[in-house]
Amino acid sequence: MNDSTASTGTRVLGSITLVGFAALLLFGLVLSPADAAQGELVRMMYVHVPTAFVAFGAFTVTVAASVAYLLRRTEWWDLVAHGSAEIGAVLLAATLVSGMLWGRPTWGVYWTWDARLTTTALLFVLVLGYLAVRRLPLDRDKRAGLAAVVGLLLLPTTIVCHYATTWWRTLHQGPTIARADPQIDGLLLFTLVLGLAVFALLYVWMMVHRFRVLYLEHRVEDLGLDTAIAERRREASGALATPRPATGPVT
Amino acid sequence: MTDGWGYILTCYGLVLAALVVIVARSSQRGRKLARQVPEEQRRWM
Amino acid sequence: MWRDAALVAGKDLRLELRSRVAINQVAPFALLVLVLFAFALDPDRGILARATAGLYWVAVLFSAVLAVQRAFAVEVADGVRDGLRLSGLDPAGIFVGKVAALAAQLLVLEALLGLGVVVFYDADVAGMLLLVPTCLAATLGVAAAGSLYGILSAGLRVKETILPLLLLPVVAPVLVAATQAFEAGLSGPTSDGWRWLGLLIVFAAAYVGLGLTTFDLLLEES
Repeated sequence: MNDSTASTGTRVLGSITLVGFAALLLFGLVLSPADAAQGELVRMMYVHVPTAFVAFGAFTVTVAASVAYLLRRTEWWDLVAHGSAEIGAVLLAATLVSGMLWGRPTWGVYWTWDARLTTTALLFVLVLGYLAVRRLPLDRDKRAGLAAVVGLLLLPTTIVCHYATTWWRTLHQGPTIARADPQIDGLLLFTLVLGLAVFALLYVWMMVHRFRVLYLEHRVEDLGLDTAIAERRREASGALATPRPATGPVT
Repeated sequence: MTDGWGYILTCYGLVLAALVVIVARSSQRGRKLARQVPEEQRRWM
Repeated sequence: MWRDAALVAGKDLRLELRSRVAINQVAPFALLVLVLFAFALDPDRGILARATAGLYWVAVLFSAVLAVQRAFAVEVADGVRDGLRLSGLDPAGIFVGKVAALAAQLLVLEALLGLGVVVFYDADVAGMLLLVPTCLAATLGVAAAGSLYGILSAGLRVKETILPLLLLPVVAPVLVAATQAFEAGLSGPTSDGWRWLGLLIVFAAAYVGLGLTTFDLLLEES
């Protein structure tokens, strides 16, 4: 018997993810050397950069799934958009927290109104708005359509925010990996890539589970509706045979 | 500059703890819901 | 499409002329926000003078949220929205009409607020050449984005709380750009402000474009 959202596939995936996290801790905290410029603090980058990448990937999935939902109108795309946004929000929160804890000893402040930080904060608020739309007490199809439109609008908004804030302030360092000459030590780069892989695995694993939980939520909603209808029917037919007293507690 | 291990451990600790809590809550919710749904609607097993 | 737009805009403006909700409730609210800022920041002229541009646009955005709510509340009452959907009016025309009416109201509001900052915050409106186009572009952007999210949230029971949450982060770039342009127009050299005006125009164009292409979808979903 299996009374959970797990299957053989997710168990394997989950185990690999767990081993990956153990490896990330080992490499991130013990094996990799301190950076020449940042010292030990570079270790926070192994959480900060991967979560940021995977979170942005997750929101891309949400936007794409929203478009697909508007074209196809299937429950599958709706659930993908929803689940991906939830996990993206969690990962983006991790990005913000790790960034603040890095910023405090490096820049002297937890937060600064730099372009990229501001864009990220705005994106986080936008996603919170999207998830709020997801929790609206509405008819399911209507909520799905509304959420898909809000999800689709995430993309132009993020682009505009990015340009506005880039012009406004820039302090955050540019991407270091994309450059032609690798400026960082081999083991550091390896740990960073390992972090990316581990968080990507985590995303896929959580995504499968969230998808199934959301799917089950819909089924339970349907069941609740079916039972409620059946009960009303029973009441209606039973009322003709044995009328219930109008007042007094039912025992 | 201090070596900042306090910040590093707080960072890893907070992120991992949050992830563990979220995964645990989600799977608990999944179990609770799965018990209410007939098996033929849960095809992943 | 233009004829439909004129119809919708005319209807909204007539509604406002008769009910006077914007002028009797939203405009005093906007002035109240200015006064509250003065309470919060000390009547010390130094801080207020330095923050004038930002405070002005925050006041505009808060009032814009109210104006958007009002503009779409009138569509929900008595199932007007269904009527609008069935009327055979071009959805893009409806969008342009709503934006035009909203923008007209916001411009009046901004003129009032401008008078407010001159009187209360002792602002010096020397760079009119930059300030006026900034107002126009920013207003168009806010009205377009506001109409998009306004129609989305119009039919919901929680519309009062969900609209600010969705709309304010979206118009945050307007706040940044308009504030920078205003700072240049009020005190600094005007030349610093022009590229911010450019950004505002791009923002307005983007959201007007989005509205024109997706408003039929939004009208259907809401």
